[in-house]
Amino acid sequence: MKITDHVKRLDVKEKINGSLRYIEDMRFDDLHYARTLRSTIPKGKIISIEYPPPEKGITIVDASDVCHKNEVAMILKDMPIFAEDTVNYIGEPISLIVGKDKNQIISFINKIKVNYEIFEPTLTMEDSQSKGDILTEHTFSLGSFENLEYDERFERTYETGYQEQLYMEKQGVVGAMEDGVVTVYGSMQCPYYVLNALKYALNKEAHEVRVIQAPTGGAFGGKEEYPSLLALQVAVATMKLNKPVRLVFDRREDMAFTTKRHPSKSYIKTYIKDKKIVGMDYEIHLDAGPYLGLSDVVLQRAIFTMNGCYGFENSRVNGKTFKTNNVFTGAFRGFGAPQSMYALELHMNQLANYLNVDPIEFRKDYFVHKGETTSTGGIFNEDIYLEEMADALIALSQMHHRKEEKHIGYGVSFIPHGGGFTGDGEAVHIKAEVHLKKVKENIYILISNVEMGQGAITALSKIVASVLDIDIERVLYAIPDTFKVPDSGPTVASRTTMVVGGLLAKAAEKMKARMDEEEVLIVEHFKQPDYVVWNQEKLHGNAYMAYSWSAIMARVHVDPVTYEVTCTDIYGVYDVGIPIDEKLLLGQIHGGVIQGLGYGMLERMTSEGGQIQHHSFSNYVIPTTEDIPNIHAKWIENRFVDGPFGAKSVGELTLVGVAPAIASAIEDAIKKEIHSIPVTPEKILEAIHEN
Amino acid sequence: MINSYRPTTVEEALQLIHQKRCHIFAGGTDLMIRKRQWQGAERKFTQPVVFINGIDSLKNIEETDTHYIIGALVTQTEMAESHLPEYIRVPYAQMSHPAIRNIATVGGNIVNAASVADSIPILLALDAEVTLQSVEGERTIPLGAFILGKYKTVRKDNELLTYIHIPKKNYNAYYYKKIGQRKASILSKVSVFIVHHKLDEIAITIGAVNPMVIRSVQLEKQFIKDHSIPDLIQGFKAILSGVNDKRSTKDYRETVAINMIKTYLEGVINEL
Repeated sequence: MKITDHVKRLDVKEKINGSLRYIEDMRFDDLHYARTLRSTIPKGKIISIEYPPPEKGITIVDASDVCHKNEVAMILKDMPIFAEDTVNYIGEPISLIVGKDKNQIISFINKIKVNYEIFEPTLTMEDSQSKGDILTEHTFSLGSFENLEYDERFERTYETGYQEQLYMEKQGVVGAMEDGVVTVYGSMQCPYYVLNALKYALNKEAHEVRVIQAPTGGAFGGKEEYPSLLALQVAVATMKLNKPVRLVFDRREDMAFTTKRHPSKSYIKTYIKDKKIVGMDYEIHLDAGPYLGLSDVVLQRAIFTMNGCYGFENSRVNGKTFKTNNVFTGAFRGFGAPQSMYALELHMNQLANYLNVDPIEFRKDYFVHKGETTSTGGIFNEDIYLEEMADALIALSQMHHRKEEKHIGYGVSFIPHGGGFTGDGEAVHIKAEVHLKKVKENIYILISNVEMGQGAITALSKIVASVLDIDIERVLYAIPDTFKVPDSGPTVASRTTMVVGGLLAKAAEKMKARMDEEEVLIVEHFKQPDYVVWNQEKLHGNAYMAYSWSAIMARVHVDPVTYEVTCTDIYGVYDVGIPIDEKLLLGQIHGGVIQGLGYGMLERMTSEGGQIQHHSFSNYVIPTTEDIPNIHAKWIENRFVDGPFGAKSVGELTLVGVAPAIASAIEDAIKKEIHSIPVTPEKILEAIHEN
Repeated sequence: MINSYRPTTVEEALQLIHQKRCHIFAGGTDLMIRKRQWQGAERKFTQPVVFINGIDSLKNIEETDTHYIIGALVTQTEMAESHLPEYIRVPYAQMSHPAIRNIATVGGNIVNAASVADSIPILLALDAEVTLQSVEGERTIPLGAFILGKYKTVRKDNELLTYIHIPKKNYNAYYYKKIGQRKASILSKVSVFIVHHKLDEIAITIGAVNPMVIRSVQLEKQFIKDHSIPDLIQGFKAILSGVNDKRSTKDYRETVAINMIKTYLEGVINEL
């Protein structure tokens, strides 16, 4: 087959006909269920736990059962598997109550009383800052603000709230002892992250622990680092009971206590001279919750692209993560960029409005080009077509044929998104290895990257089949199982098609010459391209191998009586190298637009006293089909030399630019500024009343 | 151990609920949520459960010369697809989403008496009455007298709400707007229902702002007399007492309720 052929998605048949067994449907002999006893206070010391008298059929699993280290290995090891002496957020797991009868478990757990000494919690980033609880901080700059000549300074502050991934399938894992091996099945993005956490906490070698990915019904980053915690808990439980133990969250537990997108606050100061930007100073704060987790990596992605699609002579970027006693925040599609790009792009539109210039023409003066310097002092190595994309967006949206319409507004955004890990992360930390194996007529893809609804199996199989010019049916994808597949890295950072697909394409090229052999194994390792030069300590050099780009325009209607917003249209022009499959690309664009629309105007999630308030479908509202705008998408071709067939990243990019475009369109319709998302009708009313 | 019963007649059901305090389960769309503990574990019912959805005699919509008579077990979908006037059908068609509407009942929404229940503003504006039956007899009372507050009604434990009576009126126009956090499948954060015949007869209700649906017959009478929108608005403002909660704000609810009434009535007056 050819890469330009259309294919049907390879994973959907079983999903649609219902035969696929998710972790909650899988059968295990003598299965036990686990329910989590959680902290009910945001910060304090556990004085005592009053368990009811022991009951037959009930086992308590807690920190005392952890045989080696009660620590979840992520970047740091600051989070315990089970809280021991102290608790640091509402919902923090203290123990698992395990048994075969769910009614017995629930009645037992309802009788448990935990006595605390309550400490004053830190619930805001301001409070955290005043206490000096900064977890991490980074600063970098270009040019200088000393002796900078300017006419005026345009300053704004922007805020974003939590966003919940709201994957259809909730968090779930099963731990089982199989032939003496601690085995964890689960809904997850990163089987080797889980494996490494198990090896560390249980002091096991790779052959003593095993992780098998279960069909994963959506993840969006929510199943990047968080499943490691759950996997450790069921591993400890199954080692204690020697029975399979299943831990599946209720939806409310999942919404209230698992990782979400970091709330943020951005401070932007723009220095203007002769109506031109001569300098921009950014600062972004992220609420990390009680443990670092991936927050510093999220922060890095937020700040590395804070200059967006623009080159400014002088820029300074500062970012901080703050420790609080709010819920633990983590990975979510976009990974810091939705926060920083919302702030930057809304700011650019407000600036254009302030200077009374067209927001697209205004941007063109600052668009970056090949060979120019990135905000981290690297060099853009690729062709960049922002001007062409801007013109394509103008044409697509028929901008010059707009009629004056009441209560209608337009907003734009231009977004870069780097594919793969930041800096030299792919080479230094991930060191991806892929296997392509030929057995008779079939070619097997052996990797640790998972299908989670994004279409990975289809995209990767298509790459291999196209290189080999064989039918896609002959390419088979093996379910990630750490006993069977190598570590090709996590399924994150929009890296699967671009990085892992690139390695598979190279492996397939080598396979080509050996197609007449019965059995062949090709092993391919990631090699850092020469143009990537990175200093992690100084955060200097090429933050990404290659960028994908989007240019988006939103059209909204704001009801003058009820202030309800209808996003009628989203126009998007994308540069993702080339689409591996046009339908898959469109799927990502539609999904990204919808999730971005939710982030920008609907999905309000707040925390009071450390407790997430919006933890059910009735009050945390994601878009329905009635809320989805007409989506008009186009893409340009701009092949990336190291991507498979020239493909770059897609997944996250499609979400990032939507919220700022919609927020700007609303401002355009009501002729008022609003500095936080989601832009709800309540905020619109408030802005109008502020007069 | 909790017993459950499936009566097929009203009499049978009345006997059961007369003997002991029971949960009466119609569509169950609210009860099943309220009683849940953990997916896969039993619902936490503390009283015997009487499933009344087998009582076929309560599943009909009938009419007399003066009234529509709705059986308590008529579903919201059946209301939406019935031959009732549009001003009744349309609000029912906007409640929740199709799966819920297919099972949730007219009677259930009333007896539950949630402050955001979407049927109550409609039925209250239409002067609906409800019939309560028990083994001791039956009584028919205005809906306004039936509901005492948020989740509170005058229903006694041994009473079953069996019928809703909606008087036939000669309304020739209506306005209904429910506002939620998104466009569909959502609870109201404020709603306004207005039915009228020119400006000779009018009923106005505001839902989901106060703990109970707002209707003021006195303001309606005054408005019929003087057609003064500012006075009407002033009157409503004095009785609005919205709250800030997870779904919206006091300011938004009150302002938008007033905006909707004002904008609609201005249009009506302009057309007269």
